[in-house]
Amino acid sequence: MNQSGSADYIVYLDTGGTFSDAVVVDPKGRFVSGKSATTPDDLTRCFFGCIEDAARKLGISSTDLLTRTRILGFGTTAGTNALITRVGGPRIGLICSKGVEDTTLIMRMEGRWAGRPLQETLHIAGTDKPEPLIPRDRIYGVTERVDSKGRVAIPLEETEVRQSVEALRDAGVEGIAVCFLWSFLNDDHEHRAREIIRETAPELPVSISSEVAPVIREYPRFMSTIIDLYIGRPVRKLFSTIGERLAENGYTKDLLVMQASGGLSRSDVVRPITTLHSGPVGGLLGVEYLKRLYGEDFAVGTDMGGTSFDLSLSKPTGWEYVKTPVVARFTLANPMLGIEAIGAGGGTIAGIDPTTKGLRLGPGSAGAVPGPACYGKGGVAPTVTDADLVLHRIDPDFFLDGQMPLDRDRARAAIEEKVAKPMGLSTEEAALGISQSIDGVMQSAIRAFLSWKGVDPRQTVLFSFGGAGPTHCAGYSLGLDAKRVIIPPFASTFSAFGASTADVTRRFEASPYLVIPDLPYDITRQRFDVQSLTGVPHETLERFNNTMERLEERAYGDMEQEGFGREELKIRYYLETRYGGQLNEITCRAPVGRIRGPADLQAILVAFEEEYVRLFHPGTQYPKGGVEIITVTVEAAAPPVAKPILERQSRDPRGPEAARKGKRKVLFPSGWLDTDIYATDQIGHGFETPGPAILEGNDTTIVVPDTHRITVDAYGNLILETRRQGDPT
Amino acid sequence: MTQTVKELDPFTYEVFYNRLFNLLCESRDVIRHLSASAISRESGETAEGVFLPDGELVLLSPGLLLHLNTVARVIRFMLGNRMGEDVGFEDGDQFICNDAMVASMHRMDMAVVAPFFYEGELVSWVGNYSHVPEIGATEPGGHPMIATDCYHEGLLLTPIKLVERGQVRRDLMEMMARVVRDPRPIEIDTKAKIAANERTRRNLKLLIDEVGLDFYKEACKKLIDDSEAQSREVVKTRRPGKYRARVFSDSDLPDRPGLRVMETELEVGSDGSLTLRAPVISPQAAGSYNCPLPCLEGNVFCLTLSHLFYKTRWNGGVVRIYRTDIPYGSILNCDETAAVHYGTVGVGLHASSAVSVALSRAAFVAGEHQDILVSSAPVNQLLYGGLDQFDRRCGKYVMDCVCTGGGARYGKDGADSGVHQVNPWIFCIDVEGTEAIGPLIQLGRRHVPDSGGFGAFRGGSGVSAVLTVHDTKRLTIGNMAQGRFVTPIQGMFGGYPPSASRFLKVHDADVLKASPEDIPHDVFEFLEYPSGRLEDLYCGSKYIPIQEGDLVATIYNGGGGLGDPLDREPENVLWDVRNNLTTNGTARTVNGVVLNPDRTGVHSAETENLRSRMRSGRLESGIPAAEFLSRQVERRKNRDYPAPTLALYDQLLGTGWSEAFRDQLAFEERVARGDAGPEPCELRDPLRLELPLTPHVNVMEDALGRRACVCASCGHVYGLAVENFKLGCLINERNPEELQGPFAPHPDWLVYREFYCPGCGVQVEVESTPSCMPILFDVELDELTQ
Repeated sequence: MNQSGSADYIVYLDTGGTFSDAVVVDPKGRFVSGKSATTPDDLTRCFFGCIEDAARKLGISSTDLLTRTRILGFGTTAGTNALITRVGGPRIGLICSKGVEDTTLIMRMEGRWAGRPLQETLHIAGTDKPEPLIPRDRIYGVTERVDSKGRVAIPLEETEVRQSVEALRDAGVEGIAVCFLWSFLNDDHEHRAREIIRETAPELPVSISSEVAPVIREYPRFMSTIIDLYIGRPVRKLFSTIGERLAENGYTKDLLVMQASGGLSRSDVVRPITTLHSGPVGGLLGVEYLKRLYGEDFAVGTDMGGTSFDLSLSKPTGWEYVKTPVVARFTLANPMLGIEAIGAGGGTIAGIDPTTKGLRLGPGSAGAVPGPACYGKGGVAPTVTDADLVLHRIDPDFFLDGQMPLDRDRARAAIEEKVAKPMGLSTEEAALGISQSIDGVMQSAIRAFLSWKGVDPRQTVLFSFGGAGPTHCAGYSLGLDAKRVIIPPFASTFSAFGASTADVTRRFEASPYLVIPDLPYDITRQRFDVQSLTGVPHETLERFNNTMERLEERAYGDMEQEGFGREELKIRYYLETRYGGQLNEITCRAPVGRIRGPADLQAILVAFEEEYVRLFHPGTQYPKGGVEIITVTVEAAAPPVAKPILERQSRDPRGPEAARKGKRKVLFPSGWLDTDIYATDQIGHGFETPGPAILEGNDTTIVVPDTHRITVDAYGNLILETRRQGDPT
Repeated sequence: MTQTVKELDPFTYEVFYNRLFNLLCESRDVIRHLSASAISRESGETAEGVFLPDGELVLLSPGLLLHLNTVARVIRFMLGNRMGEDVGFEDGDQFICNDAMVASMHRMDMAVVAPFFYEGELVSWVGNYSHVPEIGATEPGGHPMIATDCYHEGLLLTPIKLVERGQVRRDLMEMMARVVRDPRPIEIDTKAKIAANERTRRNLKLLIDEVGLDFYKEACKKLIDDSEAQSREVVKTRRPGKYRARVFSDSDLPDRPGLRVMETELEVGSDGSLTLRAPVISPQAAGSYNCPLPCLEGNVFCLTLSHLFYKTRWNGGVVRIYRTDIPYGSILNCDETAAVHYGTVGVGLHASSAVSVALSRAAFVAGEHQDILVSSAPVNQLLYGGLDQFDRRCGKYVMDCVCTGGGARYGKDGADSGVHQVNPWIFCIDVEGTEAIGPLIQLGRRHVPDSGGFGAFRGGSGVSAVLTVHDTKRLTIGNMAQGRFVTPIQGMFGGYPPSASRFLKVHDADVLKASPEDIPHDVFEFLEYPSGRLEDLYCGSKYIPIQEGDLVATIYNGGGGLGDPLDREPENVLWDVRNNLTTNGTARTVNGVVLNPDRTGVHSAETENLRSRMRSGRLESGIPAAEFLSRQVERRKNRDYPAPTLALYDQLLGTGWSEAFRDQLAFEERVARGDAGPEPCELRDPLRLELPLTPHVNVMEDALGRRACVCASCGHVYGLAVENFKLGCLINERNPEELQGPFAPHPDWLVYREFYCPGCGVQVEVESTPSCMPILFDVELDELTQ
């Protein structure tokens, strides 16, 4: 990869829903962040707005900054925006196996509810499917069929393909997706169809499902193929526009883009679908990076923003993936880093249940517009941020570094009218209740999230970030007994920071669909015990090995394009495996990439069983059913690119006094307490204070209740703990 | 110290609810992830709940909410049977039950319940259920189509202790595995349910450690009380009165269809209660078209959640407001010897489709238009058993059965292939999923044009599946269904029901060797298949052997339509034609829309002319109600009905069976004689609207201060509102084949009884009904009739 030169900076940009952030890392690992309101109509504006803001803070021009930048990474919502707004996407057509033309319209019956809050979709009359990306009159079925063992059952009728292409061209399409059933086992028909399209309409871009997502289950595979084509044009256009402007401003190296699976890729070779929804993965990467820095095994990332509370888990083996994520209400077959979003954030609306007169939080959120009542933009519903303001936890004149003054009177009025009066409470009591309740809801979500993954909260380090995370993390981490609660000082731009730690990686998946109905097992231990490969169908083993080899070759080929040689790459294998008869697979890391003898198979089976028992319960195994390996993943990682370095700092000789900027009364469950206020940008290694205390940074507020204490460690991170005996009261 | 409800900290209570909900979701996911049953894993037919010590449901996870009350019934059965005294309820025990008369809906629904002890005290029960596809009945796949009583339906487990103090009874597990054809689902799913209950107990203990036992007990009770209060408040938004709907089935025994009727009457009480009755109902069937009372309740509770209580937390509080009064020995409350495997998504769902119409009428009258949802159809299931492509024994369903169309909404069409009436979070397995687990090639899964009920807003489209058998040494195939001769649901406010269903087979088809243009991919192409022997089977078909390359096809129904089809926006008709959801012919003959020949636009002037002619035609073809009823009285006297209709007539008049039916007949005789019927009246001037009864009929005050029914379009006065306004309409009985072509219900079984306004010809209602049946009084509001 051509990243040589005398450049100094690593720059990473993340265009979020409301704000876009840039993180600039200097050679010493220090950060400067740049912020700009996201401009969805033209993302280049906020892209360069962030760079300008960061450059200003560095005291240099943006051209200087870009000229001295050696790596520039970019996470974008451009693909997601195109999908949601349906602006900029091309008019495309679909050619599929005859008989399943309605697949993307039937949507496996899940279209009404997938990707929407569960309680909302209980009301059947009020919910609909999303508008299809390709209407029925641009979908053509052609005669062909492959069976579940990859054999051709009905040959491809090439004339029908030609006729379909002509009809689609007449209908003015600007691209064609080709999706046949079982093409991940036998892709001959899809390849031939593409050849025919190229012969008949060479001007049309084509996307085929066996290349975009060669995995079992046609609906997500079809959707991935269609969306790859649909967002391809706007995404590529954005990359090339940005690339040109970067070059004009002094940055001539590769623009690297973030993929939703967590790795970076060159913008000119990246597959568009892999960039979809890549924004939030930065936070996860940051958690992973810091976790390793602290030598921990498990870490949970908690990102509390305006509308959602995003949870992610990093295990000793790294992060987890969602196999079939839902984006813009369509289910896809391209795995994304596992982030679970709960509807809880600063904008969550508090109200009263009309019947029970009890408090109800959400499901609605005030969003950025109109926003909480205190924004003064027309919002009248009380939100969590309004409660924080009434409790004096947020300084109305210091929100977003004072750029956005908040109106406490509006916040009070909203809480009084909508919560306090109906419940017969004072406004302050109601605000405290809202704050405690949202913290409890988030704590409950963390607990459930970890419990389902078989992880004990006491094993984990909890990272808190996002605009509202540090304000609430003392509340939502209480009672979890996490090993440590860490707040990075740059919490609101943590996602961008995390993304700047990303490496170049590739993941390829395919479904070899290896079914072994009978395998020997120990009846008392209920564990597989394979001593020979007798009885294991030879052709399926061969398919498994061939699939692995093919994926590896693709990974090598792609990485070569990125500039890496085979010897530099680290290869890992993952398997989606289940007992015969089951319908759900679990993911386990495979110790080997080929099955050449009984020991290889046994090693894979042991890895599967161990993960299975860990996730579910000892005694739930079912070796009697044999085993089915449905999908395999090959992951190739390039050597790490230079990362920001969090250097250990020497102790700041100044005491906490140097950072103290005042005192105010703040309401905590124990009452109104005189609370010291500190400036986050003035604190350094060694800073410590018991609560109550509030640390105000330019974009986030850290709340330390009287039950807690906070210290700054050698990496400059803030460590929140419950109070020790002997702390002054 | 026991905390009183008042003392419960409201904020901790909110958090407590979240914790409980999350932990139940987690346990539910344990079952789904471990399951070997497509219907549990893919369609989400499972749920986990926590219960009071007396069995009342505190909270249920999302899932198939049909089981809102069933697991509670298992616990209550065990308590009522005093099983604690001898069998014993110990810490670590778990019990299994699949007895439909106790609780579960049919044998495939297996519940596993466990007492939960905290510091030695039984403080709750936890429990779950899931649906397993094979249960060792006389035929594979859980649905023995030839069953004529419960003794044909396979493994029966009344509540039995399966886990003793944490130790699974391997002897019982092995017995269960031995009596079924494919042991994998029952073994794996039972383990999954045991593990899920263990997970719930573990997490509940952590929760109580945190909130304290007293808080836990009080909060559990409060959750139920709150839901009851919330539910009553919602019911009180509807106007008190009786809301009725009638649906028909052709299901009895395989190859021996017979008409069955369910007239449901939902009474909305002024105290916020709901009472469900079935005044006119068929006696229980010889085959499996029967529903035990728990199963009916489950269907109706579940439907009501998505219609009315969608903002309420679902638990026993919802159950408290319901009363059911259904004749014992009828198809909706059968005796314990009856075969009931089609009770759940068949008869039960069928009854709930009628309740859906009743609730929608109530929603309209209350002005709550967002809650109007015309019904979706019961489920038809294609079943198979034999050896799969890996030579493993199997007994399974084809899951396309859930692909039913949604009923129309007020101002919106129904969702195409989008609604399963009692499972809001339904999911249909991919075609590749179907072929991965069974020896089949699915040649088609397509929408069926014109399958949704016609209307100003049409019902959502249904789906047809075409399959061939592939790569097996032995397979039999059957179909559990209804709706070959009738259409099982209704439209509303002048909209039609959807088309009927089919189960078709081609013997000796050898389809994979056929020329490409002959290979069928939907039900229309199927009928044209040139070789082999086509058999149009009655939907409910017993298992028959099927050969490699043979073809089967089924239709899964669309939803019911709403409003006069002549009021449908012509542009929407054009969109439907272009998207293969309706045909040119229907556009013209049903919707009165004339399209350009190239389907690029609507011919507005011709459309207007055609529609005007069609409305005038109605005024000519419709006959006044009194005259219509005179003919009916005559026909009844002369037994002048086709054989299937006459059989229903005799069935209902059978010894002492349906007094309500006799009363209805007697009333119609009085109307025919002129002794009853809507009293003519004149409206007061100026006009004063009291309430809209349907989109076409308003209630207004007459000159004497009484209430009258009036056409909302032209002002025609039907008569005093104390009587059924339909008796002031013009009536025309139409052969369904005129509208729905090859997939219409059979005219000997059913007609479309259309009601027109005598003033302007708008179609105000359509009854899909055997012609012997009396005219239904849909809405009888207390304020109008008392």
